[in-house]
Amino acid sequence: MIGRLRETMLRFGRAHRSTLLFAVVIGSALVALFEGAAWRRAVATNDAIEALRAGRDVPIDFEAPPEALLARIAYLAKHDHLDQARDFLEALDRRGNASIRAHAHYLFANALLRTALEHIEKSDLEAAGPFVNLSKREYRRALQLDPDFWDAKFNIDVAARLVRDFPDFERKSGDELSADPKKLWTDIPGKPKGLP
Amino acid sequence: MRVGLLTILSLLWAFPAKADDARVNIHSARPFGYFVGDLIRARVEVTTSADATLVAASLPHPGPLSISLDIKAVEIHATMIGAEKRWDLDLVYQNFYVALDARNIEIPGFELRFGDETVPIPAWSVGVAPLREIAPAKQERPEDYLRPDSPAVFASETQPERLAITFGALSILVLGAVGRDRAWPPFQSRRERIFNALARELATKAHGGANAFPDAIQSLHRTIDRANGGALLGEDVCKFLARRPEFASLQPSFDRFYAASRSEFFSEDKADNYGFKELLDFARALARQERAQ
Repeated sequence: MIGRLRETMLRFGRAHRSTLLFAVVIGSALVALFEGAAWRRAVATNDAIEALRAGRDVPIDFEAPPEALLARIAYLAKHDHLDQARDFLEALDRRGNASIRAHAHYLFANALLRTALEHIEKSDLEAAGPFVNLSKREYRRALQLDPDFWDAKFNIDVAARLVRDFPDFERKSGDELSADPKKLWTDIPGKPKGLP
Repeated sequence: MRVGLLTILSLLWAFPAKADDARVNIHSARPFGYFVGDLIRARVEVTTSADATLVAASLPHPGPLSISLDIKAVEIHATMIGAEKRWDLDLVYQNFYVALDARNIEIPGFELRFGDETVPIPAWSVGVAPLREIAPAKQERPEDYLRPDSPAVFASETQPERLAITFGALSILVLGAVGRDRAWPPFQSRRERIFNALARELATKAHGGANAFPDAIQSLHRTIDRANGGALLGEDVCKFLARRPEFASLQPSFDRFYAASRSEFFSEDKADNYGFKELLDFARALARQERAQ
């Protein structure tokens, strides 16, 4: 059975060798052209990323490859154009893979948190609050996309200590704690040792 | 004594109620040591009677569950165990509670509905832990408390580059094979492809002058003679075809060609219905048959 099939295929191959060879030439040439175009695009993208990293304002459109969008977001976030960065973040969310999107949300959250820290340094606490909360949301988004993103875990910790969320269970146990004055100090370093 | 008796009594009272009811077990990969962002995997096993069917709408839905807890994935499959059915509900939670100290957080319970029967899944708890010390070392600038921005991600150049080069080289190689197969230069003098070389040569002379046609007939004769290994006359075509069966299907064309050749060179009234085009078609058909070998 298999022998006969092999024989048939060999005969077919011999009879149409000429055509088959020609088809292979056309097919492989098309693949080579396609991959060549992809290669050129990748080189152009990486040049743009390199330029953005060096601090040059290279325009990138929303249809660019995800890596270029990420580099643009990094550039905009670094130069405090947060609104524009958010537009690119939305464009990236529609197309990029989870890892790149997680990085983009992390970069954006870092920029938000740095803005908040600047406000705090100027003692403008009211302005800082919303930025901290927005950054927490973006870190959470990054962690949803990549649960093993340790830098995002660390920085959400920093942000969450600036402005605490109060889940229900914490509020409950918080009330219990404050009822006992001796326990009031347990969490705070440098607990006074002398007179209360 | 009385307490012991009461305990036994209450156990006796409680046991049948439990056996009648669906039974619930919750297993978690580990009940402690979760940082912010970590995935908490749990399996809820519910044992029901064999004919129970789960109301799919009563399953928890992936999405945010509370301010500090997400549910990421819900999967259920049922297996028959004896006369009972066990429902394995695999749940993946994600913790977003930023702990200041190691403490337990509560994973809320929910209810599963099997037909009219409702099975409560109780709340359970896992231990979360902080990532940083309560009072980190003092930094000069506030940004220094943060982890730095992630490095740039570059597009992959090597894969398309490698594929483009490989397929480019492949197409050039196969193009060489096509050229050899069709006796394109520099393979025009290949012995196995004399008709291919001839067909190419004739195609270039198709729009030559008045002498083109007789010249073409002569070159075709010469090529057939080469294939035959000696001059081939019209009467011997059958013998030639017996030796080269690949050309047997072209016998009518052979006969027409020999007749046309005879009238072209040895007769006064020329057979004008046999033109250059038919000659070229014949040469091409010969080339095709030659290639199919």
